[in-house]
Amino acid sequence: MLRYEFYLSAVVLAVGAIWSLIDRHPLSPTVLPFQEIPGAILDRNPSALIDLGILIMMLTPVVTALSIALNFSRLGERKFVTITLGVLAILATSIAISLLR
Amino acid sequence: MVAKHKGELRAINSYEVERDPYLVDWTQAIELGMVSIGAAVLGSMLGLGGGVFLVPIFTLFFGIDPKLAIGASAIAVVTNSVVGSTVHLDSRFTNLRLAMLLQIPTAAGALVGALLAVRAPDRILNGLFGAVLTYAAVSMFLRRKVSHVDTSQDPDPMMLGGVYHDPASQKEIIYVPRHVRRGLGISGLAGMLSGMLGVGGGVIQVPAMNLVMSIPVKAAAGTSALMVGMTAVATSFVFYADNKIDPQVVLPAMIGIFAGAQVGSRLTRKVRTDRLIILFVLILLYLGFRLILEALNIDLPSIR
Repeated sequence: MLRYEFYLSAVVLAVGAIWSLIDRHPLSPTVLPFQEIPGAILDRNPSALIDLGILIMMLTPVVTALSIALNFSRLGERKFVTITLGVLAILATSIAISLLR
Repeated sequence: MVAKHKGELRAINSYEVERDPYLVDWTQAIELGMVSIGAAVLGSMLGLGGGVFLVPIFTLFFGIDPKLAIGASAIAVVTNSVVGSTVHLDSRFTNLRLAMLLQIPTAAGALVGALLAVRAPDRILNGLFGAVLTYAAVSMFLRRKVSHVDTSQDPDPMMLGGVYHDPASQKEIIYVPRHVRRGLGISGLAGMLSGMLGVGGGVIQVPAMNLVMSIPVKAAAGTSALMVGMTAVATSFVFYADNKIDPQVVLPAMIGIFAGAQVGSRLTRKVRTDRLIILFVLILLYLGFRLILEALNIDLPSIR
């Protein structure tokens, strides 16, 4: 899981960077808010693709924590499922703060 | 002259900006990428991760705003952790139960630390970073002993024990962490520093796991490698919310840290790092003192 998400992020970043180079598009100095990224990609803005790659990378450990919780659940280790959900709650708080941006 | 802020750096480069903004952006990105490779090579040879060198170098020699440097470093730490964790998970060095338990205070500390950092004056962050680098240098110089306590027969009421195959000794290593409550407290502190400074926190966590909790170094490093990524996530989203994630800095840092960590891990196998330790300690001390002087507003002749 961890590996595939890394590859996905790397590919998105590489495509965004190559597209920026071909278009002679300077790198943006800020990452767009979540909700503006899809529209910016549809508007053929290569910086938005780089932003998306960065966000995928930032979310990779969150998905890892989710898959660890599922694994503990499959093993019937309820105590560690609860602990991992606690970790996810803290990470979700951090993401929620960024959504309120 | 060293530019104090990114805006000033751009102003210094205004001639070039007028000439070709595209060229300036990508030239600076390549420079940052090369420096990040060097930071990651040093960091991985020392087992500290690249973030410890990235923020001071970006701040002192590129005039990048410390908060932008911390945001970039946090995402570079995530990248490094994602790549490193896959290796450690395959080798079964990562103790997932222990990682998740210690991650609660670490992530909470990182969230609080990041929220403090985005509001803290740059001088405070520079001073704190300088102090952490000085601590890392001193502890590295003094750290010659590694704890090898056999805890395999200890009771394990919390089910936190682990087992892995050690390729060096060709043995199955069984261990049970000790002093878990103390470990939780140290993790909270490591998380807060990590959140404030954008470093992984492994610089505190790995020695603490080994010396305080009697966890073998390989298991401590493997467990920490997974944890630092989750810790840096808590940090990076807070910096993202505060508009402190700059792709012009983040992209070269991510690529550089990834490439440098690959080179560093290969070099570590070939080069006797213990022979280079004094040089590394001096580099850490130099960067630490420069940041402390910066925090105290004492100017030194610029390098760049």
